[in-house]
Amino acid sequence: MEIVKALLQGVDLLILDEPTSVLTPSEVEELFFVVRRMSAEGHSVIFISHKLEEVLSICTRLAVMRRGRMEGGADPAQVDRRELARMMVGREVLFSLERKAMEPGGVVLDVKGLSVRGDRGNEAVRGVSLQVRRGEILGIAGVSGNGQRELVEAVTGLRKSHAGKTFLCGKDITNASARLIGDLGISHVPEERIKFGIVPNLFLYENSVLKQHRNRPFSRRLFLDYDAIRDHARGIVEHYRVSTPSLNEPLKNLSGGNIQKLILGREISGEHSLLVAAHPTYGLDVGATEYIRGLLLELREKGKGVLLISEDLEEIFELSDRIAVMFGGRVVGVVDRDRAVVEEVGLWMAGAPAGGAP
Amino acid sequence: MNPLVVSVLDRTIAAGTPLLLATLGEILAERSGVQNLGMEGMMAVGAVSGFMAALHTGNPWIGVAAAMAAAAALALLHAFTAVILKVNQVVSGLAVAMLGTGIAGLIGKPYMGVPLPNQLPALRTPLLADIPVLGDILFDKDPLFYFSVVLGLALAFLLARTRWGMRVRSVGENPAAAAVQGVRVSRVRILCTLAGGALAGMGGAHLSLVYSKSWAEGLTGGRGWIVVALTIFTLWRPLRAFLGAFLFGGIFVLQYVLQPLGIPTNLLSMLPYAATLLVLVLGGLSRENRGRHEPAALGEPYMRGER
Amino acid sequence: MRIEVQVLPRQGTPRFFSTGLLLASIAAGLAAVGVVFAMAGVNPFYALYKIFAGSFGSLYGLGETVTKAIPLILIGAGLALAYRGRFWNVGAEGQLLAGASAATWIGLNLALPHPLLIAAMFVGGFLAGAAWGCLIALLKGRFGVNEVISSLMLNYIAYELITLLITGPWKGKTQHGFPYTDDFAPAAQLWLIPGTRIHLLTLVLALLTAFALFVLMRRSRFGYELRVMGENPEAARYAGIRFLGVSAVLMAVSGGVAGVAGVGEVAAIHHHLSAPTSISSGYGFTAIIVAWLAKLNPAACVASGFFFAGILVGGDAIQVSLGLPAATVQVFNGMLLLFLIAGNFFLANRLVVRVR
Repeated sequence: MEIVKALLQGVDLLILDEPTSVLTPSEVEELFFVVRRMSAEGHSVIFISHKLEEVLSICTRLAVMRRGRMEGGADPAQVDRRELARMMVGREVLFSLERKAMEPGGVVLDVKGLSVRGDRGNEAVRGVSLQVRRGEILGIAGVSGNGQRELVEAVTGLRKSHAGKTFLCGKDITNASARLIGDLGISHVPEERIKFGIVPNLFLYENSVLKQHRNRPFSRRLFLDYDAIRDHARGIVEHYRVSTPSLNEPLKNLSGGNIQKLILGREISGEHSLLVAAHPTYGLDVGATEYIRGLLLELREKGKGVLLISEDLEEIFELSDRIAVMFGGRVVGVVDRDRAVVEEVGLWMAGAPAGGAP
Repeated sequence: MNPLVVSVLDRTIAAGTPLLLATLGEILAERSGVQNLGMEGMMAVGAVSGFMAALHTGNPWIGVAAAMAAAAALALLHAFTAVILKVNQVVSGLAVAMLGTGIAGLIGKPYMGVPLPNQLPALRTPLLADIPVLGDILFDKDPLFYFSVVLGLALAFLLARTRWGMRVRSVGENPAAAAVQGVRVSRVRILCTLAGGALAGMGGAHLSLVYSKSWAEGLTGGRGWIVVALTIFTLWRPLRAFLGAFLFGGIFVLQYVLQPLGIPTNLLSMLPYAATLLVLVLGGLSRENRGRHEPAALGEPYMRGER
Repeated sequence: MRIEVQVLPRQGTPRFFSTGLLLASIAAGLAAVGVVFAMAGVNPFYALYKIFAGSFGSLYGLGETVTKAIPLILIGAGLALAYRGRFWNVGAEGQLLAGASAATWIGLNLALPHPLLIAAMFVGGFLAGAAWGCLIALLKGRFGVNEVISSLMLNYIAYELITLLITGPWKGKTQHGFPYTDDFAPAAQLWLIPGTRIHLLTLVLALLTAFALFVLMRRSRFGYELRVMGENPEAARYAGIRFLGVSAVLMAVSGGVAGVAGVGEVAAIHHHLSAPTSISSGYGFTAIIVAWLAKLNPAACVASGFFFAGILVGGDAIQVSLGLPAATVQVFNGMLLLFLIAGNFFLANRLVVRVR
């Protein structure tokens, strides 16, 4: 639609910046078709994307930028993914992560018929039911705006649901406060990490205890124990390789990847049984993305449950044991990863019913 | 009809006009995303400048113009710090409010208690003014009242149905998207703030030139703050400003009506302020409603290039 | 030739730059006030000289400055705390008056020995101010009422209530028809340093409060939650920090210390309750700038409170000699606040000027 608008204004050069991040696989194909047509008709297109498959598929010439500089150009017909990634990151990047076979344990999160209203009074989540087990990653795929955000907020206590129930290890946590849910063992890596997950103007060490500040050893009755907090922060920085000049750095000065590592480290380090990770690698470079995906798999091996929400189908397929697809506020299909087919999942994302004709 | 009732309604219109003008101005500014808490200062500066200019030139219209210019100058300060320097809009508005009331008191000192010889002529609409009761109340009023009514209707139409209105609204809802479409966000915001200030100045001029025909320190009496509350009450819709402004105009008049009943004057003086609190509390009971109408980017500075 | 100005965020600020910028902002603000004076027909240099000579140039002036600094430090520290939480309490006038009223009632009605009576007055004043302030937090937390408007409305309501009291039920029988309450007995009066109007007890309380609030903000759990709430309310929600709880405590403290200031004023300076504006003297508004000048650091309010007290004392002096109205101090308040926040812009950003 936007492209039509642009074409109507008679453009010579079209710049597309991450155009496919909110599209389903079939919509992406349509977009590529239009872009190829435009190029054939003599329009110029600059296609900016971090998705390697896409740029390799559609572009006639490639340029790689890193840290504001041109790293080099490439011919998509001859270069391969590994080499491109190396140019982007500066080092060899492995693309396959070790994935151990795990036997899922008892049910950690049980959502039954949850219905949640959105900001504008609409029904954002309609009667959703799902389960996450110990040692399992449940990946929720779906285009943004189909109720994933509201579902996450309801499960983590940031939004009220008006129907249905949520259970954590058998305990009813429906509409409990965020504080209680956090104490009971749900960790949350939020979708917009700077807006919701940290306080940018506060220092790194102050951010390292954002949800746990009430607990010992960080606080003793009325006062906070800053020595303990600093130790904790140091631990996270070392263990998760957060790159920062010091513990006293205002967190806003760190890069997105390091901020996310801090958040993840903070959320994982407490006592928890379930991690809710919403778009955890959004906007991060290849290196940080790999690292964080590895962390999620590690959690799974430690027997925790992980509820992963992501628009990146590659990520969903790489990490999940089971895949659920949300469309229009409902779960339209759940399938084991080993039996899932990308095209079918894509169809569900676009609203086609499971197991039926499109 | 009871002459008392007629008189009350008559005075209600007069009391509500400055509120209507200023509220419309604030609605415009807030729709573009700028929260202007300095209204009290702008009304005060408008009132005193209007009075001074009208007194010295003998022409009340020059007074109105001076009032608008002075208030707009004050609004420019707020617009500069809020939109260009992108500081906290609440504090900037507060500073401007204090500055405005201070300057008004300072400059107006020699004019306290001085009577105003040349007043704004009442405009009598030929046929309509002869209607028995309504005629006197509605159609034999000062020109600023008519202007405020026309403005209210025009603003409602402009905001909802014209491209200009859409541009203003988009800047207040989603400045990043507006910028992509080529709208000059800062410019729209500054102009809307200036216009809002000018209207507040006009409201202040009405206070000193029509309503009380004099200047005294504290003439505005917190009306500027009531206007900010009214803007929330109107859910940022100009047509609702009529309801709010004249409702509160009536409350101001009610003070005098109830006086002979023996109620302590101080309790009566509290009426407008208590009513403001009540109105805000009632508005708070339907918070989702407010959330739906509030300009999404209200109070947030816009920085180009931010995601 | 073209001049291009680019605005870039500043990374890291050296201490000297920060202080220098503060001083520059103050100087610019004072210059602007001078311009306003000139417009009003007052010689700005004479006026500004008179102000500072009056407040710092003599022993008497110095004494008056300390006296006026007491309520400014108290209220300023409380406001600094509130503003750190982005809770815009503009109602300190009303909170001060609430404290003054409570102290008046206690002082006139409870027959207690001096030390107990004074203690009761301070406690009562704190609680009254705290209640008046807490109301604002409740209105915001429960009904979403904008705290700037509600606190200001409560100011106006407080003015009217007090005027009602002093002309009605509390009217002094010994005041020959003047709208005051009866005078306090000596047992209800605060001791003043001889030769001055400095009420030592309240001064000590003010200094302790400034320091205590600083510690509270920096090292306590409440202070941490407050700062998170102020810097990023969404993250505060995510972290399970409850707005109503934190803001209620915050406003109780902020309102309470303003109430304590009210007790001091009424028990040491006036010795009775009279017209609200003469009791509060605009301290509630001036303290806003005191807090801002102190960069919202309660401990630094001691210095900025003292500085502003000087302006007030000097302002009183020229008010009398030059016939300026009471609103003049608002010009100082507004102008300096404006320049302070504008100055902050340069603290956070730097301008790169290029000439092509």
